[in-house]
Amino acid sequence: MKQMLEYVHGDSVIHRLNPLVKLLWAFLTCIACFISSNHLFLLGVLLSTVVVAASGSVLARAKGVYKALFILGFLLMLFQLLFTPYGRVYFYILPGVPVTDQGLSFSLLLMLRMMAALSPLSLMLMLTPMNELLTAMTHTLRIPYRYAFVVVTALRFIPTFSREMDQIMQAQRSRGHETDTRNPFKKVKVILPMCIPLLISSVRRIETMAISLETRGFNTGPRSCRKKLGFTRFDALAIIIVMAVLLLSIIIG
Amino acid sequence: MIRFNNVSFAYEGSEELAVRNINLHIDKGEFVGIIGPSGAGKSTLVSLINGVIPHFHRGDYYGEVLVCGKDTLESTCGEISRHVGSVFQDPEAQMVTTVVEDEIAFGLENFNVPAGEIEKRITESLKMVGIEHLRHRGTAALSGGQKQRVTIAAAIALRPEILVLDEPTSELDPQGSRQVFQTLKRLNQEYGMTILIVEQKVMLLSEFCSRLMVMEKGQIILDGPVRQVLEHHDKLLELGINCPRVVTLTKLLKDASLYDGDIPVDVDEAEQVVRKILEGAYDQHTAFDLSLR
Amino acid sequence: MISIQHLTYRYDKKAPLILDHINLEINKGECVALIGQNGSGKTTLLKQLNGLLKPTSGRVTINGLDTATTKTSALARHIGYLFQNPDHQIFCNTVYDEIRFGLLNIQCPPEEIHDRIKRIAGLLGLENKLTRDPFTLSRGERQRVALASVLVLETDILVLDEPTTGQDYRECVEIMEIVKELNRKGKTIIMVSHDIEVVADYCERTIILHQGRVLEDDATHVVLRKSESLMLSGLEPPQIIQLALRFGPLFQHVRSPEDMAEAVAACAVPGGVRV
Repeated sequence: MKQMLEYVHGDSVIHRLNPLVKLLWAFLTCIACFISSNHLFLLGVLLSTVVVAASGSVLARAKGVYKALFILGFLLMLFQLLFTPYGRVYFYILPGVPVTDQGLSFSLLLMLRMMAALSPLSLMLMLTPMNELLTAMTHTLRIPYRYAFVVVTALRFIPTFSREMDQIMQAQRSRGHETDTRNPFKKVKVILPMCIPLLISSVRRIETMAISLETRGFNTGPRSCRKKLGFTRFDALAIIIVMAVLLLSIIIG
Repeated sequence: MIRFNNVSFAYEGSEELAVRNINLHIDKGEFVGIIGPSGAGKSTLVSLINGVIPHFHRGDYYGEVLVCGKDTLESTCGEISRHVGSVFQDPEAQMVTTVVEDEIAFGLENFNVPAGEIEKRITESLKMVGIEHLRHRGTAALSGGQKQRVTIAAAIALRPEILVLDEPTSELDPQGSRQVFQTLKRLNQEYGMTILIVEQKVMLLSEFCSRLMVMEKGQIILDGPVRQVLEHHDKLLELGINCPRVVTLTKLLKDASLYDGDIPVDVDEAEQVVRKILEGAYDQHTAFDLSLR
Repeated sequence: MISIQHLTYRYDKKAPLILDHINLEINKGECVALIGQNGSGKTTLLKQLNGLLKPTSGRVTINGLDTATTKTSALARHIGYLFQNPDHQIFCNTVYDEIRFGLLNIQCPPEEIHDRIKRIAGLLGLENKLTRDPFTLSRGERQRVALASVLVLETDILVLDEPTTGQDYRECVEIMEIVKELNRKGKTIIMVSHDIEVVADYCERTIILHQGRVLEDDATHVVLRKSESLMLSGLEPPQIIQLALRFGPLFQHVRSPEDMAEAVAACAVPGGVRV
């Protein structure tokens, strides 16, 4: 989790794209994936996100994202597979639970959609400096600065909290607490109390943050902005590609 | 520069005064260290200077605090931050952006400083802190010492006359801590900045500060030039405050009537003390070679 | 007791080695300091000891148990681990429950529980705080609660990750005196610390870790005289040792301000000891 949303500093073409273009990419790709029900199209989109990750040199980290999405998608797929009784039956996995061609096709689609639709969001966060995202949200999208700041800061703190949660779990395991159970219900029961230390340390941290903001003139009046967001040929090209993908999804359906 | 007139404060919901009847005067260009057991009111004192009290933490407030001639009660936290830069303990909680230069620009943008001027100030404050090479780095991958120096750079970008720091090195390793103190020394000596630091590492305080204040139970009980405060060696130990070991040594040498000069604040000075004792004794004993090093 | 053979560790295949062929034997009753820069692998090494991290290659055994195949929760009966930040550990509503938590995990017989909690609270000066909510206590007290909740498991080995960070000097001395007392009673202590004075005052053996390797491993008073190794790790010898080193062999046995004052006095008396 901690590595899926954390910005990775770099100076690639993707890093230098206008943050709005990256936002647009993440959202339109997501939409396109839901419009289309074509396996090949979704696979293509998924591969294109791999290309983006590679050119932003965050492939190693993106692997974690794909893995997590794959596991999630796979569970979804299994579920779907077992509960789609129509279509041609290939075989019975359990008495009365058939595996059918339609079930297989549909569940595969679901998994691909999940992976192709969500990975751009995570990649966008990995490849866009927070500050630029903020500027894009406030100056171009006209979201009030305070709200934009809250959203972006929350995103920034997710990796921090996630690291902290790791520490807490480890501390409890060291006291003989079994957190490594495989039973998901048990797991929730085990993890829930661990949220208390996380909550308390978060509250402490947020207070420090609030004070720090206060002493740096946060929200004292009109704000200036250091970086004007540029718009280059690459941005134009990226928009054209994104639009084309969207169009394609509508055409193929 | 900073003046406290009979200041007392109790946090909201607490009966007990966190600081009691503080009278204090700090001049321009001083480098003041504050030490004391936890709960002595050190952080409260700092919060009174940077306006966090009364503008963020509320409570019962008595007396007046003047910073650069202005009553902190009558200015906002934002206004005070142009005079007083603040650095806190947890670097992670103070970083609001993901890139070093953005972090420094943050405060400037808040004050609506024009873009061209911001660039100039970023360069200036990175140079003052001596971390120009970190300008384009991501903040997540920095070491603790580097992160704290970035937060210092971000604070001084607003060109404050005063810098207050609340235990800025408690999460750093010795090297990181020393880097922070060297940075502060530079800001103090080369740029005349007034510095006030709360710190538990007495060795670093003795070596770098010009003035030392000892707090206990909400009061300042010792205050003066570092050497003078360290003379109260026994009192400090009684209060549960560590003393640099060279000071303990000098105390023992004094008790043995071997030495009666100034208290050394670091190893270099202690070396001189010991050499002097040895030379004095061996004036008559020419056989001993003191040019050992 | 603790045996580490050819231990290497990395987060994943392509990542650099965080621990690089570590070999260590730690015997019963030792008090060992582990020092080094942030990022030198100290905490990673500690986490190997109770199986929170598993070796990439090599072997770590604790009382004969291989950490690679033993669950952390099972190792918890042999090795107590105090985390750097007490707030990562504490989550119960009262100090009493907090100390009891670990005992329930290791299935301590119910009739023993109360006595053990009382005993440990007494040792750490928490008798009057047992019904308090830990989060209303001071940082130093919370550290003692965290320590109590680890000690109550009565393990032979105690691992401490920077136990004195964030404490004032008095709290620091309190904690370390307790640790020292436990050591005298035969507990094995392994401690990470940045405070070289604490290391000098309380640990007999010191290991310097640098870039994942053991740079020095010897008696504390020997290691603390190795200025170069210390400097490489961003550390420096304690003030008194630094001072003594400046006089060459003259003060080579000096370890504390008291030693130094005595040695100076001996040299200073006309006709005194000539070294």
